[in-house]
Amino acid sequence: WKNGRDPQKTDAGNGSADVDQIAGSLNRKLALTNAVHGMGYDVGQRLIERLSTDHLKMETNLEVVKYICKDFWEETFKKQIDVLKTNNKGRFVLQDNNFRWIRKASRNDPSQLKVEDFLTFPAGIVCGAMNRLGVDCTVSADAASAPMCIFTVEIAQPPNNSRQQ
Amino acid sequence: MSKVNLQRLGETVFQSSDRVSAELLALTYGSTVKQLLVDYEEPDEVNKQLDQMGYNIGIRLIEDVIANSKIYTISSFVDSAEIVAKVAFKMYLGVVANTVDWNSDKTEFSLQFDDNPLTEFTELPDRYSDLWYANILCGIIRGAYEMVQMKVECKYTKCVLRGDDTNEIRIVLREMLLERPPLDDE
Repeated sequence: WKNGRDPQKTDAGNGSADVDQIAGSLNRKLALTNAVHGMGYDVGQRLIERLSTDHLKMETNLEVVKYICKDFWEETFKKQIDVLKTNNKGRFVLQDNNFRWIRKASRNDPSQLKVEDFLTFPAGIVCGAMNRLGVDCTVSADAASAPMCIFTVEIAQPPNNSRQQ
Repeated sequence: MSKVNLQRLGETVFQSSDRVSAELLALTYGSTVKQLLVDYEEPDEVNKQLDQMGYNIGIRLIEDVIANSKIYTISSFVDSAEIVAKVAFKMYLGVVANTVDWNSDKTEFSLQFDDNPLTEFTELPDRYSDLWYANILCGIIRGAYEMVQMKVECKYTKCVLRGDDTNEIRIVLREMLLERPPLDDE
């Protein structure tokens, strides 16, 4: 929904106000999510710059992901990633069995915030950190069984395949 | 409790609590302020927003202070000042503040601290010279005080980012709130 009021508006009669309202609040939420993700991205970039200065150059995507899972996670979230899986085609699944930032989050929060919303910021951090280490990727997070949570790193395939594992 | 005891207490609580890396805190706070500057543009408005955010933190944070420090009674405003400076500041910022410049009625004092982890890596550009960068602290203190029945005013008066030699927050006691049962309490 680029401008928020795409197809529904034309065919709706009385319902259009509702649709507008929903679209408006969805847009607002999307904008907020983007802003928070962006803040995380920014923090991740600057954080990794400070942390990785003494580290040897990381050649492959896997090395970068491993560094994120161990040193970076330890420094930022005070533990290491518990399980790392990959499909060897650029997708890495990072599982933290007890993610510190949502340990005390409530499942029944009366506000509209969901546990997932608390992961927007750390997902941004991971994305920013990866990017700073030269890996172009997107990061999404899932907290279906909090405080266990899963970050999925999807690495963008470079056109010339210069960074193979 | 004497100053020395409070300082020791602050140290103990600090040692035993979970911590995050100072860099993460500083960078996260920085990006929050940056985003507020994007959203509200005017430094004055950002000061207000930071104060409000701090207030919302403060009214919850006080519970954590009391639970972890096990200070259950705060007998006077003078005592409370030392608790803020020696215990609360140590607990959450890892630094200790000093209470200075009391007025003769003992209703006003300044909280002075040289190091502020929130302002690490930060420089204030000229166009934001009206910004009190760490104004969130004022809100936090105000909110926390309100929950222990003291209405205070909190104002940043010195900030190293503005070229001052130290950080200073002025705290003025306006009113001791009386504990009253809610109107429809049965």
